[in-house]
Amino acid sequence: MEQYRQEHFGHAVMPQSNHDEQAMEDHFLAMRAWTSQNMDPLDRRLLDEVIVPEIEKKTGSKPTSSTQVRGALEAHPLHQYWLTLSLFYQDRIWLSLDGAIDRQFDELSAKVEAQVADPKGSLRLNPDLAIPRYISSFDHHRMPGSYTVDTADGDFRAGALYDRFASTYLRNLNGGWKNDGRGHTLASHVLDFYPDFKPRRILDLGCSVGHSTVAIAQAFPDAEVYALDVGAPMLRYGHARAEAMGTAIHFSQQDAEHTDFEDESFDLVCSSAVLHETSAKGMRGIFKESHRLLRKGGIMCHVDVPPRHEHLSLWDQMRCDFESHYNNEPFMTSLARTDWLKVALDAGFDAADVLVGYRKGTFFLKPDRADFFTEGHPEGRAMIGSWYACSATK
Amino acid sequence: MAERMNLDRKARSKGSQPVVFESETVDALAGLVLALLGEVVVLKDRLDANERLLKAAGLHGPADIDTFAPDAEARAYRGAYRQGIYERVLGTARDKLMPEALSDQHDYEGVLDAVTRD
Repeated sequence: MEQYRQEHFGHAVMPQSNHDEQAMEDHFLAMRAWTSQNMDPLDRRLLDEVIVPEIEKKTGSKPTSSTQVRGALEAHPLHQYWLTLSLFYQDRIWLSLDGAIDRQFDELSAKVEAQVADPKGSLRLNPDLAIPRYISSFDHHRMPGSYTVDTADGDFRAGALYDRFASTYLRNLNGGWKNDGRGHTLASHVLDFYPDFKPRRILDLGCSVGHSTVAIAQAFPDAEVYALDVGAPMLRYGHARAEAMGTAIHFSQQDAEHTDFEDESFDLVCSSAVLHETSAKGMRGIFKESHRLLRKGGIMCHVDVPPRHEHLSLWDQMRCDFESHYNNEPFMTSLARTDWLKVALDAGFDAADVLVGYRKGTFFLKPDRADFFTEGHPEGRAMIGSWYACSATK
Repeated sequence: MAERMNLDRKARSKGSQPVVFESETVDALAGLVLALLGEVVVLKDRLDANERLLKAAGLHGPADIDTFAPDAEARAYRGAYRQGIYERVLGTARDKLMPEALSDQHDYEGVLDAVTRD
């Protein structure tokens, strides 16, 4: 009965599913696909063909920003249904996956412990670390307990939950269960523009469970790789995951804005999908810290979510706002309006050394110049499948 | 067995909790319906798996299921998974409608239960 086996995840500490857990996960994914295929186009038409003309009639001018249509759109039952489906998926899939982790908690705990018994990498925790407000005051993407809450001594649950969710949420868009597309995309961007770059020390900021870190380490096999995050259960799991995947990474529990590493001690400082979970001040702090940590000639590279406000249609602006208003990603819509070049200049980089634009996502090393572009979608769609990137040399 | 802690903190996410339709009650009903949809889909998948496995093994058919009477072990097993279904379906509405004052009562009842079993 080969086809009924659930062993579909390729590293030793990934939570597994029994039949019903997998069926529920498949159901959530299918329901989300149904919503995006059937409800998204209708919701877009509702906005463009009903709400916008109504507002235009009332005010005499066509709305250009999602803030001008929010009230009217959210008062419409069809959009309320769209919102309900989106929120229900996001709330309940976490609880479903978390239930599966509770069921196998002791078994996973033993697996995590076994993986780190004789490690190639390392783990340094700081129980006294002050967690930034943009992490501590709400649970990002409605993940109960966020990255930081321990549910047992030496807990790994947040990492296991995040790993399992990530492999489901972007199953075909970011490298399947490895969820490492952003890491390959980042490494491809660096090697595209800086082909002779041979970093000896790399630091990945806000590494979560190391999804991207492992891919970056694979792209630069001669480098010593460091990774930090504020969440202890993320790091304990990430450490075990990296060991299970045979990659030496030195994890530490630190705030990306204020690390304890020495000035000019890294050749590459990077982050993947971290900035949108910080704040305006946090982003500035991370760019400044990146500058401080780089040796002369070193490279900073941050890749993040693709929405750019100046390129988005009204509905796509609203879809981006949804993340801020309802999915506990409050900085997302501001990040889409932020001039990354200015942030890099304020952090000490020279304009001539900074690149900002979209990078087409890849699941393997592909340093291809055709994958870098600065134009938005002709119909104002968000560039899902690409990432927004900023690189700079010091 | 690991001693778990902070379980209340992972029961629901901290942050945005909007009322989408005209009231919490309507939102709760929408949640109930959507949760039931999930239960039905999983159940159908399980039946589908069962039918395929039975067919492959050349075993019993629908008529045997019609006359099946669960024994004590099966009844206990069903009782346990039903509680899980109720938690997922009915818990959806409870989590939507729980006022702050009742959260304390909920926490206290957990303590009461723990003290009683000490």
